[in-house]
Amino acid sequence: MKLSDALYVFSKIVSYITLFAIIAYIFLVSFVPVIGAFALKWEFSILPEVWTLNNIKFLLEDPFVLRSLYSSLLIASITSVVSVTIYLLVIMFLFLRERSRWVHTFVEVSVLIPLMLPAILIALAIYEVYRPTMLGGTYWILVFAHLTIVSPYVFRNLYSVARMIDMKTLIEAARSLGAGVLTATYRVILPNIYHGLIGAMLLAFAVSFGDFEMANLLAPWQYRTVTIAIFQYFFKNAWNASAIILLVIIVSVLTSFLVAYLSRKALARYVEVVR
Amino acid sequence: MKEVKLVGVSKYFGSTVAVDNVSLEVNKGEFFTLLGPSGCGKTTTLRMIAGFEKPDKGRIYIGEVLVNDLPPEKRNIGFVFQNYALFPHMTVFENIAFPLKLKKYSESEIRRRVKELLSLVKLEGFENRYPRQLSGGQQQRVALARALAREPDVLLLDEPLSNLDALLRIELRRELKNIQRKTGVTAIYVTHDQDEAFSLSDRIAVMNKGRIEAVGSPDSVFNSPRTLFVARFLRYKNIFEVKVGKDTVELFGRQFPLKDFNVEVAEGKMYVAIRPDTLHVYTKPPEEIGGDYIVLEGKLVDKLFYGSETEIYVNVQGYELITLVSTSLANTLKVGDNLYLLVSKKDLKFLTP
Repeated sequence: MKLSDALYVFSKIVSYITLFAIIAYIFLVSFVPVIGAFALKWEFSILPEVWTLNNIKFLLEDPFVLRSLYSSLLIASITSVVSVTIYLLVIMFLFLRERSRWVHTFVEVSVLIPLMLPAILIALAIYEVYRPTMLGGTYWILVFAHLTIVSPYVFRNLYSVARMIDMKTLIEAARSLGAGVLTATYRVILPNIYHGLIGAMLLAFAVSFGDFEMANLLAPWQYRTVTIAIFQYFFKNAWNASAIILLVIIVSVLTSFLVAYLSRKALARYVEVVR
Repeated sequence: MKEVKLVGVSKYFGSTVAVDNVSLEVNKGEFFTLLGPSGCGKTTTLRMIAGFEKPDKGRIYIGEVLVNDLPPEKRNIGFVFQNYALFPHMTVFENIAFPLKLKKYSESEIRRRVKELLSLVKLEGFENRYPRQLSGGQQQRVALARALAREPDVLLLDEPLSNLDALLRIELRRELKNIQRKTGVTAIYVTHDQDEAFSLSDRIAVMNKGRIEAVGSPDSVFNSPRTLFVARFLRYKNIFEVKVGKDTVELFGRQFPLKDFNVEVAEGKMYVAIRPDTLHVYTKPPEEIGGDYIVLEGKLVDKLFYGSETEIYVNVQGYELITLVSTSLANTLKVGDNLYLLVSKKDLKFLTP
């Protein structure tokens, strides 16, 4: 075997080992809590030394956990629906009404600002702004905070699909054929940005659902979120906390499928045309 | 089908005047073309008729109805876009059925109408294809069928052939004209391509800087340009500045009485245009030419071969004139030869700057 061939084989082996190690690490980090949810004793072995279903039982019986899960789902759902609606309107305005390149650039840069600021800073700002208002002490203050941090993800996702489909011309084509703006949006625009829309909703949901920093500072006592619950139980009983994480993973996956299914079904009604 | 009337219509984008006090009338069933270079305001004019842009001044009528404040969906227009604008998630059938469905036609009626339209644009059998599965020409036919589906009062076409290759463009041009004749729909067509405009239209308006510079039949617009811009845009090659006196005009260093040209022109600086094909080339001084013609003596300075024809450049008193001769004649000519160009006085077009 020539040296160059040997080097080629060697580099290939190294690549595969590196790739395998990275994937194994991701799986390990993700699955430790899943396995931990069924652990009673797990200290010096690869798998738990003593298995149990008590952590799952605890999940189903603890009102704080279920309540926190409900709060997280509520806040993340409102955040994703409201943020996608708002940014869809913003994007439609930009593409249908606004010719100035400067305005486009200004909006594009503005919505990215939350990515550059620490979440704690945004949380404090939101707290200061809304505390004296009727929103202070309600979960809406957290929704507003989440609307801020999800904006870069939602906007970028929707903006790029809107650019791909030439939204302005499609709306104009639909209007020239007798459709009003709303009908044109439902029947022509939404089906064409469907994937971007679902992606934006899921991203907004995930970011809101997974937030701890803002929730910890802003969530009212009755609406403490599931990340706060995980944090609190982690210091009492790590395997109970693992069970909550397992629940979060299951709920997240189910929500993703549900959102995709419901949106597809809802949109299918509007694109149905007599064949 | 209905007539369209624009009265003193203007449109501004910031400080830029896109359309400047345009008035025109398009008759029922007419094929009318707005012709001009990019940025001349033709598309903006079309978009105002469609309702996509609102005029800042003036009135637009479709039939007897003032449509300034009517949204596009209430104007009963058909619009064909340059980039087709077919709905990507719908099949050919669904695209064409879209306006019929909105009008709440029955299923059987929709089916009948779509079939009829597909046959009109010669796309039978393509019902279940998606736009991405069609060529550019096929997509534009679908767009045309869709625009005609709701039997519009006016069909507006915004450079519909400009994204297609040259051969297909010529083929579709004929089909477009036939379809317009068959349906009898009033059509307003926007293009920067003069061949397209001349071959399709009943009448043409040439636009420049938001204004209409010439309106008329293709023949009158082509043969009788009145302004420097129109002559240049229509590719008149021999255009010269001339001095017009009270009763005479100085041409190629000679004075001619103005009355010979049967034109009414103001005193001062003007331009004269001569089409290359109206200059006749002689190697010897032509005899018995009569008073309606002018003979210009000059020297051949260059030749450009274009197949069966050759473009020759002749210097007359310091002015370079371009004309076309058969290549067989051009082959007998040498640079430096003395030539005589014969032109009818009526073929000299006086242009305002």
